[in-house]
Amino acid sequence: MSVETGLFALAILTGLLALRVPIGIALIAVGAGGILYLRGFGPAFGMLRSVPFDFTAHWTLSAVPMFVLMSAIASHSGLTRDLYASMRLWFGRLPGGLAIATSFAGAGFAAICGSSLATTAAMGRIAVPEMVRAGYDKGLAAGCAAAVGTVGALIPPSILMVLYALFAQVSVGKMLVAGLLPGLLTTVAYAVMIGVRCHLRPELAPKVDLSGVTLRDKAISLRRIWPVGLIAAMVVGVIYGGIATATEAGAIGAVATALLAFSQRTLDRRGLMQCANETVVTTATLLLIGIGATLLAQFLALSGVPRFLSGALQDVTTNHVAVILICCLIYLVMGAFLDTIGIMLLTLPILIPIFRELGINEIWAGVILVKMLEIGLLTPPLGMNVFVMNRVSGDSIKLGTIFRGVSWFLLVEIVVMALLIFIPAIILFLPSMMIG
Amino acid sequence: QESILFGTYVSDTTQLNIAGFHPYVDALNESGEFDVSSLTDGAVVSARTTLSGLADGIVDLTYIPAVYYPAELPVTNVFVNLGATMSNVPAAIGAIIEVSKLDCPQCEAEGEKMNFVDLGSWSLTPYRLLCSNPVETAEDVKGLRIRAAGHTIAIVNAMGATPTNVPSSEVYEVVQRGQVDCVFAPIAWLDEYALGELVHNVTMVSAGTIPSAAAFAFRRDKFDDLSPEQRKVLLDAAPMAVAGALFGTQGSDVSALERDGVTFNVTEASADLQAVIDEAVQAQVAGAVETANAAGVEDAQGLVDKYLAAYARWEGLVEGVDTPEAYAQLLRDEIYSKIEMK
Amino acid sequence: MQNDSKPIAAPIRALSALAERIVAVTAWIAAITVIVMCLHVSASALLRSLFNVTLPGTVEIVMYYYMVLVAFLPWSMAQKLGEHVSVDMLVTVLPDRVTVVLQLLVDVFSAAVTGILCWALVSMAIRQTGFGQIVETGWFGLPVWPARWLAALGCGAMVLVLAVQIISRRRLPSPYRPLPEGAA
Ligand code: NA
Ligand code: NA
Repeated sequence: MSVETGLFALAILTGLLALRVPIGIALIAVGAGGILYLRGFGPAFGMLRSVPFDFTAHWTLSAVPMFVLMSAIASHSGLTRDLYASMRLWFGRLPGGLAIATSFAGAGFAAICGSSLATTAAMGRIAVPEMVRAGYDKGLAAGCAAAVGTVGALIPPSILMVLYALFAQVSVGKMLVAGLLPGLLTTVAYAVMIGVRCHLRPELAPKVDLSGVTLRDKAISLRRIWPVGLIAAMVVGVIYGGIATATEAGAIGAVATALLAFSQRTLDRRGLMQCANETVVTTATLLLIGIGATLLAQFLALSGVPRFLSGALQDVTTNHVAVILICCLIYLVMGAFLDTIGIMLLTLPILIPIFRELGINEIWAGVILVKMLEIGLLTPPLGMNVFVMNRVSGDSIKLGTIFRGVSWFLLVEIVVMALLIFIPAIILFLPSMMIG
Repeated sequence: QESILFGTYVSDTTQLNIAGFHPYVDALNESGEFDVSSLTDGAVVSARTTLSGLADGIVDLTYIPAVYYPAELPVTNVFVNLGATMSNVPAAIGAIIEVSKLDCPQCEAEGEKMNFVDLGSWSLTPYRLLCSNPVETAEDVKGLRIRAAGHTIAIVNAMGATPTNVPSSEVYEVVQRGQVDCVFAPIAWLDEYALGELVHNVTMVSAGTIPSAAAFAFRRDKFDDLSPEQRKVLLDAAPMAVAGALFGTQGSDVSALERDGVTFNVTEASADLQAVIDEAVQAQVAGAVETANAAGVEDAQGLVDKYLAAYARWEGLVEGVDTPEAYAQLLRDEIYSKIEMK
Repeated sequence: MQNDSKPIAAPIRALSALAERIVAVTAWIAAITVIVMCLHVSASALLRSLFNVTLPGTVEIVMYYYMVLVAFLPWSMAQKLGEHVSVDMLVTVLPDRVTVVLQLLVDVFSAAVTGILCWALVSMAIRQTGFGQIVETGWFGLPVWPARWLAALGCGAMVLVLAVQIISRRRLPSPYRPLPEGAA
C-alpha cells in the first residue's frame, strides 16, 4: 500500500479539474495512471478494458436513464402549472401565501421529477413571475423557487439517490424511500418560515385577493392535478411495496407522465424525441463520470488511502455524529466550486469505506450527504439552483438578490439538518418498514 | 518476501472468506515467504471482472466464479454443469480437484490460456426444496410453482411443476405473496434471504448444487516466477483453505435450521420423487457433454466419465470425515501430495 | 465544428462533415434506445405484476444492450455540445487568450485519454468476440460480445469529434454550462 502515491494523485486530480479538464476524463486519467504507477501497464490497461463496460452494464444503474427521462418529460410538458394553480387557491390566503404555495407545488413536482435544477426551473417559470407581479419581495419569490428545487433530489424519484445507492451498495429502493420524509420535512419547514416571516413583515408579501374562491373551487382545482398525484404515489408506492424495482418504477412513471402530457396536449412526438435526446446526453455524461469514479475508487483502494484517512479520522473521533459533521463541512467547502454529482462521485470512493469501517448507517449518511449537496446548490459562489433561477428570470432578478433571499432558507436548513442528524428515525423509519 | 494482492468481489461476511481465503492468506503471511494484502467486497474486481482482473495482473490471488464465465472457461464449466449430480458436496469437491489437478490436460491448458493456476475448488451447499406446505412425494410437487434458476429449472420441469425464475433478491417477496410454493435453494437461504420466516418445510431431495471449480486461483505468470519453495507454500496451504471454506459453508446450512422460535419440518424425499429427479439429473449429464462439445472442449465425455468415477470413489473416502482438518488431510493424501510441480 | 467565414482545407471539411454525421446518428440511436428501454421495462413489470408472466431476458437486455447504447453512444454529442461536465474555478479569471490556449490543451489531453480508452475497449471487444462471450438469462444465452463493439464505437466517435475540434480550432471556450435539465 502506498498512501503517498494516492494522496499525490488526488493533488494531481485537483490540478486537472482546476484546468477545466472534464471531470470524467480527469478521473479516468488519474485512476488509470495511478494503477499504472502502482501495478504496471498490464493491470492499468486491464482496468480500462473491463471497468467502463462492467460499470455501465448494471441493473441498478439503469434506473438513472429512466428517472432522467421521466424528469425531462415532466419539465418539458409543464405539469407544474396546474399544481401551482391549485396550491395557490389552497394556501394563497396565508401570510406569504404564494410563496408557501410555491413550496408545496415544488414538492409535488419533485415527486415526479428526479432533479433539483429542473424543479427550480419549473417553479421559477410558473410561480415567480406571479409573485413578482403581486408585489412580493423579489428575493423571497426567487429564493423560494431556488430553495424548493432542492427537495427534487430528496423526494423520490431522485437521480442522486440512485447513484449513491450504487456506490454504497445499499438497496436503491430503501435509499429512495429514505428521502421522502426529509423532503417533506424540508418543505413544511420552508412553509413555516415563510409564514412566520411574512406575518412579521407583511410588506414582503402583499395580500392576494382570493375573496371569491370557495371551497368548491379549491376542490375542483384538485381534480386537475390528481393525475400527477397518482403518478407520484404510484412511483413511491411500487418501490415502497417492493412490487417493482426502481428501474421499473421509473420506466412506468415515465410512460405515465408522457401519456398524461400527451392527453393534455403539452407533449407531441417531436417533444418526446427532444426529451429522449436530452436524457441520453445527460445520462451519458453522468456515466462517464461514474466510470472515472470507479477507476479512481479502485486505484485508491490499491493505494490504501481510504484506510489511511479512515484511521486518521478515527484518531480524531469515532463519534458518528462528529464524523458526519466533518463530512458536511467537506461538502460545504467543495460545494463552493463543484457540482453535485461531481462532489458525490469524487468523495464516495473515500467516504463509503470509512462509513463501513465505523459502522455508520449508510442510508442515514447518504440522505444527509445528498441533503448537503443540495444545500451546496444554494450557496455562493457556485450555487447552481440560484444560477438556474437567475437564468429563468431572464436576469430580471439579480444573483445577489436571489442569494440574499435564499439565505433565509439556509437558516431553515440548519434546523432541518440538525433534526436529521440527531433524530435518525426521520430518515430510517420508512426504509425500516420496507420488506426485504 | 513476495508481495501478493488477494482481491475478490466476495464479501467478508461469507464463510468462503471467513473460513477459506482469510486463513489461507494468514498461512501465506506466516510462512515468511509472502506479504499478502487483501481487498475484498469488490474494492478492485467485480464478479464479472475477476477473470480479466487476474489475467491482467490487477490481483494475484482471487476467487473465480466459473459459472459466470461459460464462454471463457468451457472446461472448468464442465464440472459446473455436472452440478446436478453433486449432492454429496465434500465428495464432489474432492473429485473435481482430483480430476482437474491430476488427470485433466484440458484443465491445465485452460489455466494456461486464461493465466491462472487452480489451487482448489469450492461449492455452495446442496439444493433442497424449501416449501410453504409439506412436500414429500412426486404427486405432492405436481403443479406447484417453484423458484428455480440454472440447473434446477430443468429438474422442476421434469417434476411436472412450473419453474419461476426470479432474482434471489426478490425471492422473499414472491414467497410472501404466494407467487411460488417452493424455493429450490441451499438451506442457508432460510437465513440469508430470511426465507425461514415464511417457509418451514424442507424436503431433502438430492438435486445437486452449483460448484465453483478452480475457485481458489493464483495468477499464473506470477506463479511461474516464484521460487519452488514459494510455490510449495501456496500448494501446501491450499487443502486447509479448501476444507475450511467447504465446512464453513456447510455449517451455514445447519445454523439456518436453528432459527429462533421456528421448528423446521425436515423430511426426506420419497423414492418416487427422487427417481424423477435422478432421471432429470442424468439428462443434465448428457447435456453437460453436449454443451462442452459445442464449446470445443476436447474429449468432454472422457472428462465427465473420469469425474463420475472419481465421485463414486470419493463418496466412500469422505464417509466419517467430519472435521475440516480430517478433510484437509484426505485432500493432501489423495491429491495435493501427488501434484507434480514443473 | 462551428460555422465560420474563414475558409478551411477540404480534408478537414470532409472530416468535420463525417464527424457531424456520426454524432447525429449515434445520438439518434441512443435516443430511440432510451424510449424502447422505457417501454420494454414497463411492459415487463406490468406483465409480471398483473399476469405473473415473465419476459425472458429483460434484465440482461437492459443491462448489456440498452444501458451500453445509452451510456456510450452520446459521448460524441456531449463533446460537440460542450456538455461534458467540468469545474469552473480558475479559468473564469484568466484572460481570454490564455483561456483559448488552455482549452486547446485540455482538448488534446481529453483526446489522448479517450483515445487510450478506445484502444482498451477495442482490444476487449476483440478478445470477447474471440470467446463469443455470452450471458445466461435462464432461458437462453444472450451474446454480449457485440455490445462491446458498441461501447468502443461510442468512445471512438468522441475521439473523432475531439480531433475535428482540435484540428479546426473552431471551438471557442464555452461559457460555464450547468448540467442540462434533468440532471443533478
Ligand atoms: Na424527486
Ligand atoms: Na455552492
